[in-house]
Amino acid sequence: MKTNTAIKILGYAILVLASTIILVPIVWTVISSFKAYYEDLVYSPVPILFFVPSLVNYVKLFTVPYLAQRNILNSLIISGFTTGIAIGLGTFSGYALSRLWRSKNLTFFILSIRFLPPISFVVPLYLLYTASGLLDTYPGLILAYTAFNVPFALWLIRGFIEDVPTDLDDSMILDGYSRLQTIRKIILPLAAPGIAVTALFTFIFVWNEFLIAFVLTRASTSTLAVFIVGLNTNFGFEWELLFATTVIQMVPMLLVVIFLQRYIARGLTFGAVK
Amino acid sequence: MRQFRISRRILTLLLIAPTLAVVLSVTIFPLFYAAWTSLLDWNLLYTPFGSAPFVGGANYLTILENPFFWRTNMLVTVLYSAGSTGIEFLAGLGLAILLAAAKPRGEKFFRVIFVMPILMAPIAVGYIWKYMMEPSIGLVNFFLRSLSLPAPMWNTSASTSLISVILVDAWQWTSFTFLIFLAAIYALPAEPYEAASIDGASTWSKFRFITLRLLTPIIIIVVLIRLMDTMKFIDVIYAMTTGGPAQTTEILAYYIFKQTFQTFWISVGAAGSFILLLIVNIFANVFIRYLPWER
Repeated sequence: MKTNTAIKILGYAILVLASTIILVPIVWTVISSFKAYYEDLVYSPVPILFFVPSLVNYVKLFTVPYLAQRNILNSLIISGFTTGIAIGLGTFSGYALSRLWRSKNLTFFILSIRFLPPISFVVPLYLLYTASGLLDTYPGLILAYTAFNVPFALWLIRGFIEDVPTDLDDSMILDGYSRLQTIRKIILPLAAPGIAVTALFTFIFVWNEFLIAFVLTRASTSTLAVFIVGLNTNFGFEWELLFATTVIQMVPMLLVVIFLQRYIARGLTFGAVK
Repeated sequence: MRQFRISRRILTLLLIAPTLAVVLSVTIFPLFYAAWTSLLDWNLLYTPFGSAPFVGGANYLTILENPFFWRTNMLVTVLYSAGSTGIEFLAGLGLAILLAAAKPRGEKFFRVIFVMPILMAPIAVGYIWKYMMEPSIGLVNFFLRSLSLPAPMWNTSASTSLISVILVDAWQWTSFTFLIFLAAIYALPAEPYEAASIDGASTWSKFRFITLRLLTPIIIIVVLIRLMDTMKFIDVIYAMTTGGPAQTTEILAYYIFKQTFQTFWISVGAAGSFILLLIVNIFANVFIRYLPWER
């Protein structure tokens, strides 16, 4: 009994310490995002805790033309469409590779695309996009991100479809329903939580991605990640905007993740943990 | 009511073909193009498009015969990937075991905290830590000074830059290993433990011979994901050090980035890409072997 209490106290202590290490930079980011004056951010060797909080950085990001408005919208459009298309393709192909043609080679071949380092082909992609006029366009970005995310989406969704007992859809097919009706009436409802978490992962990956967006976008489709890099100007780094942008970028994801917590480990491990 | 039927084979094709079309159009062509580029002598600044001379394996030799490449880029890659992954593995596993053993109240609360870093854009994480690690006004050194500890120069000095980027990567991704190990520990079967208790096994030997053994596949998967990701992504390094000072944080992926986007010597960048691709591919092959195929 005694050792149990000791373990409990030790456990608490270490967890609280670890949580503090995680939280300090995040809390500091949130606090700093309310600092209106550059002086509050970069001119004191002692961290400034007392200042007049202001929403001016957020207001700037959303209202000043050519600041982040465009990037926020671009990130939403690109992440949203990529997620929709990747999930659609992943669901149909995942169904086919689970129920119609269980080809291990093809599945792993498609999955292996996910492991290619993006740095290895952003340049040829850049040349290809310049030649075909896809550079700095929504379709171009969405196509590139979809190609990178379908393999992962397909693999995860296929795993979730594998969890649906085959007897269910077999009996529907015996009753004369078509394959597509089976997908709609049995597979989709039962695999829905898994598909939702796959969508979340796809969205977050695109939302936070930097290199592909950095190379394939210019002024009209640049994303939030590219905006952050752009804060590093010749006149110094615009720290106050960095913190507000980071908060804008993170909070919506956090809200969704809290609802889908149960499935996160599975998504993170390519389905290796249930 | 019965709709028209198409054969199973055609349906399969219809369901898989669009995915293959998208994936192949964006990856396979560029990959072949990059392979071809790596055999030319092509600098975007000096060589007009289409007139780059064919030089065969010269770019690969330029890279691989350069002792400096091995001493800096390859060494830094190994230290960075192994260092980050090592910390993330040990800390993540330790924390997960602790949380599973202590089962504290408010476990959900801890989980929400631990999921936060992985939701942040790595590029933003890099800049935030650059700010926090600023030697004279940063929060980190403020804490260290107030505890009368030495305040290092972090990412701005050649002797601590690599440690700095490793620590930042570990800050962001220990959460990842922690969440996975926690889920895996909770999914462990109870029977082996009961049997071991009946046989009078100690807590340590239970951990050593049951927990660790059952977790091995997950450990391999997590370690490989982190090794591959640390080799592939340059966001934090780009934000914090741009490979410096004195190339002390220039991992192979960053070397490729630099050759491509700073010196515009894209043929050397492409050759470097294939060296990286080969290394990651070896890890990916092992990784795929540990993924569950049948359920």
